[in-house]
Amino acid sequence: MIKHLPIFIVLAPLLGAVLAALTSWYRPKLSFPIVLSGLFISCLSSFCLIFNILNSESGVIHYQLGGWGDKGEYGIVGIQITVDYLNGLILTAVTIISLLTAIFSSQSVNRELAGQQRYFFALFSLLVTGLLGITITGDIFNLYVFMEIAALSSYALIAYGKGRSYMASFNYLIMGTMGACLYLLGVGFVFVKTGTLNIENLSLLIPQTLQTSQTVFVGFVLIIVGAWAKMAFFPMHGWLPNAYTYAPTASGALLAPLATKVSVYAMIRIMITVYSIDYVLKSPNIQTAALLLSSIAILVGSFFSLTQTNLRKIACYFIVSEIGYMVGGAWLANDPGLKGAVYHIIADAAMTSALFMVIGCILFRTGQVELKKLDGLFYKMPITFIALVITMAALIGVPPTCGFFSKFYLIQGAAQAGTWHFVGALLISSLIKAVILFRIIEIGYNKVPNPAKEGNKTIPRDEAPISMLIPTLIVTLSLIALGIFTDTLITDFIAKALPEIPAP
Amino acid sequence: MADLPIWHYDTLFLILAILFGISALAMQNLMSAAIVFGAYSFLMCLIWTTMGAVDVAFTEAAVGAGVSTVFIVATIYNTGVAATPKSPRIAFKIFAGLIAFGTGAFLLSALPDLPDWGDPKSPVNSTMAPYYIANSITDARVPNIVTTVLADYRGFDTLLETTVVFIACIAIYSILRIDNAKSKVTESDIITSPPAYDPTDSLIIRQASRIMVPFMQLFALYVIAHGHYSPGGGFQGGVILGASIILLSISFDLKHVLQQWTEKKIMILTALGVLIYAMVGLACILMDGVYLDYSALDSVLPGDKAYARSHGILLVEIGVGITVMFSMIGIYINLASNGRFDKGL
Repeated sequence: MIKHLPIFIVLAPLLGAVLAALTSWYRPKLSFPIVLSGLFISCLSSFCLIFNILNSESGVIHYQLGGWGDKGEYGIVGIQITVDYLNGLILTAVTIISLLTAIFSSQSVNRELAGQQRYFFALFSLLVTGLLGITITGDIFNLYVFMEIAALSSYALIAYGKGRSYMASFNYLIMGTMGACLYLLGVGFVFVKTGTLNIENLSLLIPQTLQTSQTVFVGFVLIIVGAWAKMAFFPMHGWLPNAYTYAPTASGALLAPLATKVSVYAMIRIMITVYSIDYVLKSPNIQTAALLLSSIAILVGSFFSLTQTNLRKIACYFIVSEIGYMVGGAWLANDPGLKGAVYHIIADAAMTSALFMVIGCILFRTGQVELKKLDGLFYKMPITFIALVITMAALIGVPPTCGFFSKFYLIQGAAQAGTWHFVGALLISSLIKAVILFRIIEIGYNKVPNPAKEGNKTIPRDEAPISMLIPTLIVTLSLIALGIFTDTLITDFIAKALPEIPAP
Repeated sequence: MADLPIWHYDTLFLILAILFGISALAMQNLMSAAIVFGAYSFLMCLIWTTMGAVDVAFTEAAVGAGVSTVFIVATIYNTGVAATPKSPRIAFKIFAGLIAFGTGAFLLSALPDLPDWGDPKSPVNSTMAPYYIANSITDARVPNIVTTVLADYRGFDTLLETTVVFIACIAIYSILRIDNAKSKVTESDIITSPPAYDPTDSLIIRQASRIMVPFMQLFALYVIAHGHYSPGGGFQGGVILGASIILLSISFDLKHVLQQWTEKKIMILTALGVLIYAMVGLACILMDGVYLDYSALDSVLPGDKAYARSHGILLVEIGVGITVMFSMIGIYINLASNGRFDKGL
């Protein structure tokens, strides 16, 4: 059974979703446990897989679907799943976060979507299937199909929010479809010159024989721009804030940390494996443009977060700026930059997950997350409030949280490449996040006189239910744990995941 | 170009495609735009045929020109015919135009580098394709290479595409379905015999579709079962099966159809098709193969390993057919009845 682990990672949530959809007509209460067990199997498989990779010599595990492997001169004729250090790490992060989010969601779904949640967890599990598939696949067309699965289920999950979420979901649908179309067109351009869709075969063909081909270059640009539209990179970020703000709590908590990060992974995979770092460095115009756009994305995201009054919208604009971090880090195309970008995928997934879970807890108890109405939050929900402060500290980059180390690598990479505007944008963004943190502390802690003292109004304690609080705390504490184990993560996984990069 | 015998057709199709595309965009009446869009799809179907991609053309005819036009019409029926566009500012128009032309010019920049049309030495025709052509019959005993590629060599993609259809159906169901006690179909609402003569209804259409439906369904089953030998397969057959039921619900009454195919039945069968496909793959693992390696099923299916692949393909095509058929019906009923599952067009 060990050799089937790669397929179980994707298959378990897929089967879970289909079975949940079936049982929802007979025993609606069973849907959630079925989906949960699917996600659990997936999580377990990804853990086993990452240990297998650590113990294997090559560090790569292949799984050929249908038994169609390498046929000599013809290349790989079927679809191949490839797991190495890079996607092994991201798979583990995605499975853990989706499992925790599922546990977190059950209460809020029952309350927010009472009476209409028939297919909610099926769609939830299908979204996870899509995200895991994008990460695990070794075939650029298969990646597109998984992209479709993830996209379609996320449109529905967002539209569950009713009211304004319909329009937000529609805007996302238009942008998402555009992104997917560009990606598919790019795959077509690559296919017409190479005749193969397998990433391993492509990585042998493109850097060696097709360096100068205009068709392959057009394909490259289309794929990258398509991935940018999918990850809400500036200037294609317009859909994200509304979509994630008006979505139900559970959808937001799953989509925000994972959907954009997985697209970043897809971009990095195309850049470093299909095309190679050399190829990226040989298109300096695009590199300059990408870095400039990243800096603008970071600044735009940060400044807009400053103008918002709704905590959830603020968090959404944080995502826009964090995407700038990762795209910029990847396009620096040097060793610390790429390390920072890959590390930040993991770190940001955890940070955004924690942030949206905390917001979900507050929403569950108070019904709104308007910044100015959060007065006395520390006294009302002390644990949640401390989790919020830790998460914000991680987003700012306070050591020893993981946010500090990713920023450290990114700034190091930018300095090495001499991209000073990127360094400036990173620092300004930290500063703005610090301003927002102090604003939250001021409102949540200082605005109301201490209720413990004589004569002050008492505020009853009203924490979120335990099934929401525990996942939130696990993710929040993982921010510190990730920071402490940065060294292991970088040397044992990320350094091995990246190809040899020529020193400047 | 000139030595290609059918280049006249290509030029004609190109001009017509551009014409239909522009007129579908320019029309203010959405119903007419939907019809023109259907014609555009049919034209694309002809273009795929001249390219030799008959399976794709078949799908385009069934899905693009067929059911998706019906879906659009059903949506317009419940929303409104007239488009009320806000005229954008001239600066925005120029900006959008620049982006469109810039992208077009960038795409065309690759033109000199592209291989010739139908060049046997081009990478696409000389890398994987020769393997498929040489081995489809020995690997899986399937003469229609497209079916082998679709359901066996790249069977995983097809499993996921089926899942996409399933997601589309449950997503539309989740968004539109209104659990309104008033609009629920009650026993007395269901018309057990064909409705009495209604001057707004056409007797001709009703009788004609009543005769057509069994033949359509028979043809659809043939398309699914004969997909190994001729263009066709689960997707096309499933769409035709779905279309036959949709035809019934348009020409008669949605209640009449819902009486046979209840909401519960439709939604369960939609999921069941994907389950069949995924379970065939899982059975391969249990029989010591890898996922979707149908040859591992040779001990339970008749024939040798290659025939096991052929039969495995048939099994998954049936799964695809079930999911596609009921997804089409489910999507149509949701759109036509505005999520109420009572009365349609």
